[in-house]
This record gives sequence, C-alpha cells and structure tokens, in this order.
Amino acid sequence: MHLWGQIIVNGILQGGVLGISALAFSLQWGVMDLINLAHGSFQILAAYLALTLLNSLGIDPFLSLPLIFLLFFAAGYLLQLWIINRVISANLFMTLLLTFGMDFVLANLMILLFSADYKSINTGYANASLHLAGIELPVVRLLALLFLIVLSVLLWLFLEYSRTGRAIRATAMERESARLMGIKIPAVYALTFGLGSGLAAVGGVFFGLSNTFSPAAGGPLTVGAFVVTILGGVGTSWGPLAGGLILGLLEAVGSVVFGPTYVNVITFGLLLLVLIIRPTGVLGRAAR
Amino acid sequence: MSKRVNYALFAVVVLAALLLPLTSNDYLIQVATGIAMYAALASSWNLIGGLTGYPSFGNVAFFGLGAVLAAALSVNLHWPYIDAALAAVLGSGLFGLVLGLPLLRLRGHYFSIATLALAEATMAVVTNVNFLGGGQGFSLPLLGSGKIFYYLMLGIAVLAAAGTYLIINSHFGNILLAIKSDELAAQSVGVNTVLAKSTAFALSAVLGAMVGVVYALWQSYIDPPTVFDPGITVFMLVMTLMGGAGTVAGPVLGAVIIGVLTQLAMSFSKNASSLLLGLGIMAVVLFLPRGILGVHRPAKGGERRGARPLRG
Amino acid sequence: MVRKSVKLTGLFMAVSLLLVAALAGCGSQGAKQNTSNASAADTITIGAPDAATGALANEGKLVHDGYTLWQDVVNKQGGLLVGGKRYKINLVFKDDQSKPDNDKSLTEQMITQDGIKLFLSPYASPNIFAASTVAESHKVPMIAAGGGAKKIFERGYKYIFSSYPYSGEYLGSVLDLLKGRGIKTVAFLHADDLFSQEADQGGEAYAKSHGFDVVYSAQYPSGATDLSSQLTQIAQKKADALIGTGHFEEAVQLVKQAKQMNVNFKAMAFTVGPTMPAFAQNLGKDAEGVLGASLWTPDLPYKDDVFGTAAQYAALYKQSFGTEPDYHAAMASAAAEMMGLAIQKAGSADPQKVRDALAGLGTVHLFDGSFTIEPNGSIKGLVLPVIQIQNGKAVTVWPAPFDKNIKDIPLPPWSKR
Repeated sequence: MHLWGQIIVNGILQGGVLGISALAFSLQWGVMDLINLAHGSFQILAAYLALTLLNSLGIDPFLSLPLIFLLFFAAGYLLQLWIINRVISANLFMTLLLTFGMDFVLANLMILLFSADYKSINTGYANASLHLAGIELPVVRLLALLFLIVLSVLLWLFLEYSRTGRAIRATAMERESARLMGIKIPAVYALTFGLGSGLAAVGGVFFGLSNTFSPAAGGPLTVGAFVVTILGGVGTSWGPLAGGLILGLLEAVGSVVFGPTYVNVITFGLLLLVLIIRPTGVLGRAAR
Repeated sequence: MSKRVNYALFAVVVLAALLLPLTSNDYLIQVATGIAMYAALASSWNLIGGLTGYPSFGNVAFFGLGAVLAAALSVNLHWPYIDAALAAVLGSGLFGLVLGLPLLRLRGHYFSIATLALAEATMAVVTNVNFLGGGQGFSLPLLGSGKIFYYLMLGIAVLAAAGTYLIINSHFGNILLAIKSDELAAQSVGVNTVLAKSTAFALSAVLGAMVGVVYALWQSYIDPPTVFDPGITVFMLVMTLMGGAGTVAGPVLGAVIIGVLTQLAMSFSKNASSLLLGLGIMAVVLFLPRGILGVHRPAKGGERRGARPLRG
Repeated sequence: MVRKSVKLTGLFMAVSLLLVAALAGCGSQGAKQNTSNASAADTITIGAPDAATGALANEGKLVHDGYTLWQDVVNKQGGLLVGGKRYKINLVFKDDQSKPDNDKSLTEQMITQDGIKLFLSPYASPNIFAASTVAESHKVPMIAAGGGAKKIFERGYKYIFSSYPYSGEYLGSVLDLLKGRGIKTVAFLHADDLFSQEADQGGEAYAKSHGFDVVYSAQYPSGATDLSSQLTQIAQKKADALIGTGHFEEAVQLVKQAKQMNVNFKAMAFTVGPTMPAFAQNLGKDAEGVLGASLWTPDLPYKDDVFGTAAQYAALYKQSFGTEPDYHAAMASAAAEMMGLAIQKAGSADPQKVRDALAGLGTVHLFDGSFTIEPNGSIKGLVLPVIQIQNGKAVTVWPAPFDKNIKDIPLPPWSKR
C-alpha cells in the first residue's frame, strides 16, 4: 500500500461524503439566503427512515432512496410553504432562530421515536471496498462521490436550462424583480426548500451507510455543511463538490502531517482565513 | 417623567434581586445565579448583535477564553484568582478587538459563520494547548457559599444593563444604530464605523469574559466542550431576541423567561423538556417576531422589519 | 432614541414576578409532596440527576436503569433493612439534558427544595464534577457511577464516592491478555476528552512497563468521523494490535474503516464500545473477535445478598428492561447498592452518618466484585474483565479461567472472514 497515494484517495473520498451532505445546505442558502440549522437533523432523520425501511421491509437503501427523496421533498415543500415563508423576509435572525428551534424539536423527537441508541445502516456492502493498484476504495464512499458529481450536474442542468430552474435563479439574484416578473416567490421558495430537503435526505442516507449515528449527531453535520459551503462558495452548483474535496484533502493530509488532534484547528483556521481573504469561497459569485 | 419612572423601576428590580438571598432558598439562588449569568451574557451579545446588528454566532469564544485563561493563570502560574481574572478579561477583550477588525468587514450570514468558526477554532486551539488545560480542563478549589457567585453574576448583569443604557443614550450608541440601519450611509457622512464596530465587539468580549471567569470558579471544573458549547451562544441570541433586541431590558427579560421555563420544564416533564424548549422557540419566532419588548415599537430603519409573510 | 415606556417596564416586572412565583410555587409543591412522603416515615429518598435527553442520553439510560433495578429489587424484598426496620426506596430522577450546568441546579433543587440528602451521580465525568460540588457544599454524600476520572478524587472532597476504578486502570487487563497471545507492537488512538486521555495515558504507561513496543500514538478530536488516514499510517508501522480509547461511535468507525482500508490487526481492543450490545448490532460480523475493556460481565464469579450472582443480576435486568445489561448499568446498580450498605451500616439515612459509613465501609463484596473504598472516595482492587465479541455476543475472556474462551487472536485477515 502506498502511504501518500492512499491518504490522497482517503481525502478525496471523504470529500464526497462531506460534499453530498452540503449540497442541500448550499442550495437553500444560495437561493433564499436561508441558513438551515436543522439541516443535520433532517439528514439523521433520513438515515433513520432508510434504516427502518431496511429492517422492517428489507428494502435496500439504494432502492428506497427515491422514495425517501420524494417524502422529504414533500415535507420540506410544506414546511417552507406553511411555516418558514412566514418569517423568511424578516431579518436573518428570525430564520436562524426558527430553524434552530426546528432542530431542537427534531433531535428530541428522534430520541422519543428511535431511542438514543447508536445505529448504522449495515448492508452487506457497507464496509466493502475495491482494491485498485494497491489502493483501497471503500464502496460506499466511492458511491457518495459519484452521486455528488451526478447530482451536481443534474442540479446545474436543472437550474440552468429548465423553466423552473431559471425562476429559482432569478429569485436568488433579485427577489423583488423576480416578483414583478410574475414569479410566485412563495412557491419558488417552497420548491427550493423541498428540493433541498430531498437532497439532504440523500446525504443523510450516505452518512448512515458510512457512519454510526444517533439523534444527537445532527449538529456536527450542520457545522460540516457550513464549512464546505463557505469553502466552495455559496450559490454555485459546483460549490459543495469543490468545498468537499478541499476540506477532505486538507483534513486527510493535515491529520497525517500535524496529527489528527489538529484537524479542527486546521479546518476552522482555514475557514476563518478564507472568510477574511475571499469571503465568496473558491468558486463563489461576487459578494452581494 | 417616564425616565424617572424607569429609573425607579430599575432600582426596584435591582433591589429585589439584591434581597433575593434573604429567602435563603439555595435552589432559588442557584437558579437565579444561572439567570443572572445568562442575562449578562445576553446583554453582552446584545451590544454586537442587537445594537450594532452583527449576528455573532461565536460569542461563547470570549466566555470560554475568559474561563480558561483565568483558570490557567491561577492553576499553572499560581496567580491570585483576582489577578488571573483581570488578566483573562483584558486578554479576551484584546482578542475581541484584534479579531473584530478583520471579521467585522463581513456582513450577514458570512459574519455569523466567521464568528462560529472563531469559537470553534478557539476551542480547538485550547484543546491542544496543555497550558490552557488541553482536553482535560481544570479543577478549581471549591469556594464559599453560592451567594457570592449570585452577587458576582448579578453585578456583571447590572453592569451590562447599565452599560447598554449609557451606550444607547450616547453618541457612540447613535453610531451603532446608524451602522445597523445603513452602514454605507454612516460611512459616507464620515463616521469611523470600523472603530465603532470593533469597540462594540471588544466590549461584548470583555463582558463575556467577565462572566467566564466567575463561571469557572462557580463550577469549579471546566473543560473545553462545556465552556465553548455553541449552544451557549445560541441561548444568548434566543434570549435577546425573545426579550427584544437592541433594548436594555430585553436580554434580561429573555434570560429570566428562558431560565425559569427551562427549570419548570425539567421538573415537570422528564423526557420532553428539550422538545418543549424547541417548540417554545419556534412559537416565539412565529408569534413574537420582535421580542416581547419590541411588540409595541414602530419599525425603525430598513432592516428592522418584523416577520411578514412573503408576497407573491 | 430607544425609550422604554413605563408600560413595557411594568410588563417586564409583572412577567418576572409571575415566573419567580411559579418557580417558588413549583418548588414548595415538591417540598410538600416530599414531606408527605417522609411522614410515612418508612421511605428513604435518593436523588439522581440523569441524562434522559441530550448527547449522553444513551449511556444515561443505562445508568438510570441500573439505579432503578436496585430500587425495584430492594422494594420487592420488602425494603431496605435498617436497624431492624424495612424502608422503601424512592429514587427521584431529573433530566439534566446531558449538561453539567443543569446538574448543578438540579442537585441544588433536590437538596434544598425536595429535601433529598442522599445522591447517586449523573453520567459522565464533567457532569459528576458539577453535581459533586453542590453535594460537597451541602455536605451530602454522592456515589458516582459513570466516570472514573482521577481528577474527580484529587480535589480533597469528603462527600464524593464511586463504584468505578480510575480511568487509567481500564486497559491493564486487555494488555495482560495481549501479552499472553504474542502481541508485541501496539498502536494507541484516543479522543481528546478527560476520560479518554486518562485511560490512554494509563494504558500506554502500562504497555511500556510490560514490554510492549508502542509504535503509534495519536489523539483525535471527539466525534471524528474519518480516521482512515490514521489507519493507513498505523498499517505502515505494522502494529500487531490497535487500542482505541474514545467514544462508541469512534470505535465503530475504526472497525468499519479498518475493514474498508483492509488494515489487518492481530487484535483490536476498545475501552468504550464493544461492551454495549449496539456495537455488534451496528457492525454485524465485522465485530467478531474485537476485544472490549469492561468493568463487569454476567460471567464473573461474584455474588451478594441483593441481586444474587452476577448471572442472576443479568437475568433480573433483562426481565425488567428487555436487554442484556452492560457494565454501565451494573456499575450503577453497584453504586446504588453501596449506598444501601452505607445506610444499613449507619443505621439511618442521615447524610453525615451515611457519609462516614461510606468512608468506613472498607472492603466490600458485591455482585460486581470485591473492592476497597479509598480515603479519597475512589475504589481499588476491582478485577477488570475483558470481553470479546463472538457470534454477535460479548463473551468474557479475562481474567483466568475465562481465557480459555479466547478465539481467533491473532484475528484472521479481513479477506479470510
């Protein structure tokens, strides 16, 4: 096994896991200027759903993924339409507080529903890996990266070329003008949040396959999505991929060079540096 | 007239708070200490978040740094605690001032995340520096009765509230308000907004660190996950917004309400207390978007909108 | 400028007063309830802040159930026999949301409002630190079950006791076992919290003084989700054994990633993780052969009058809660049992007398083993078992004679499983 080759691969694959988790977060932020503090708990809930479907009905997570996506899409759509839209035009504290409250409710609801026990989605292939030229490629992580790339492309195509996607982009750029052009903003927001929730659920299922989770595991996921989104840049379909790869590589290499205990120093130090030097992130659009 | 009545009410509240220990109910004093602590913390957050309009998500950094520095100096260098406390407060204030300069160039969500990163980075550094206790934290000697800590926390809370009142009614306060409603306009009329913002941030840091040094002694054991818990910042924010951001009494009122509700929830419902707290926060956002003291106030400035439904 | 209207300040005062009144009312209600209980004069009330919600809810439940089992068993036997009279045990739990701050105020509340004078601790060392300061200042005894941090007992406190050995002693038995199996090089990975650091330092010192070659040692931040690069590094150092000292999710992640990275060890051992049934459930067959440093297993040959043998304890627990007990639960029951012994020895539930009785208990023999209470409140002499996951179950493989149960050390490589 080649040490550095493997470490670089580890970093890239971890980038996939981090990036797919940030996809939804980045979309919601970019379009609505909404930071969803309940993002991590949404993901954990999706992981529980996939686990329940696997255990009770024997449905493989990759088969139940479309169903979970649709369920979360619908729930997110209604949540935005009925609740979040009520405060989204107020100052940004309000949405932060609201989603923080949602996070609290979700996390504690999950304790009541699923107990505080640690779970993981343990399929036959969860810990399998491919061997390629002396390098190990864990299957689930490889799939996460693949899904991230495919979903980023699909999201880009959707936003760039579909009618609805253009309405979303127009709303993101200038809400009032979009409204004057006849775009129904509440519906666009609901759609965006629904789409985001669906994507969050996909990220959550991957997290459940690659990690152990409990109802309290949402917080770190949200913070991770924050970092990836900022590093990659808000408001671009490729941001999560770029941010995920940068963070994954940095953590893998940094943890070997300096020791794993400094990973958080590196991560958050870099985040601060990026924010101070280039707040729009690596691929981000110009600051507004 | 109204001003005089306000002073009188302020005096009555402070007097009542001062006399509370006469009940010699240690539990009540313990809860009141926690409430005074959060009232002080929320007031410190209010300086930067409420008055200046910069949504900090990392104020716990100053609280934690104050606690850790004071403990480190007194345990490792055997300084008298009062000296260690002073050094810790000054150090944290300086830390806030220096980091405020680059961070306060950011606005909105970017500022929020930068401050969150600041708090997390501070915790990560502290966890890796043995002099600062590392991941193991510090154990401090157990001191006297709970009343001392109650009066100390109360003192900081009163200082914070009085300071806020003075700032609001000063030229400095006007500058902060101007920054909140339209920073570019303030700059264009020649106001040194950078200095004003950084000063507010540093003051916020100093108050947070003061609470931290008392907290360390009060708890007698501190470790990084406890004193750098991002939840502490969230509570400062929730309390301030619930009571009314940018007001003197708002953060105090928010701290009292949340502090008491938390205690009540914990004693009544064993499993659902956190769930209820979450629902309560959501309800406040949806039904009291400007905070309790903000309800009757007319909207000020472009950014001071309350919740209003999206128009389509 | 911002003017506060009189009306608003009035509102503020009214709301505050109302809330304080509600708080005081609630408190006095609790106190009344308690006196009516106490007037029955045949009940001993013991308080326990516990983590029903929050990050520690998982372990919190085990501790909660461990305490509860002792209460239920004693009450089923007619109560605790103190000076010829039987007293019912009444445990009062309050959710600390896993936060040390809340442990302070809840302990204070239980002491001053509810009149509770005897305590069992909340879970985890930071929470015990917080709760024990209140117990100490009110001079009421608290027995800790859920944290063996040495620092807790280095403060010179007189009212804190424990059923746990020091964290630094957890790994001794594991290393003894490995020694007999030809393991020479070991790699240590540990989390950055107090417990993990103390356990790791104790383990590394023991390893070095017992002829092991420590080829790798690193600390990672609590909650790390990707340790694959560390495993890659360890593989290069050709360590025979991996010893992980951290939290449940990190232990699971290390096994998962060791398999994914095809990093083979002759043995893998963890302090927290394998002893919990969820470990084998989460990992399936990949958990096979993993060793766990435990504090108690149902196979141990100890017994006492309350629970009977260790095996009978396990049966009682399963009957009540539907799952096998792990050491968190058993050590909690043992802590509760220590409290019972001290009350019996003191002949009363007076906190000072119970404290003195605890300090003078000397060597006790419970279903979890024989140990001696030290002057600083910690315990010494408990023989720590080691478990191994075999066919999805935790099997006791240490101390002798259980070492005959050891299977597959050295472990077969992942490709041959």
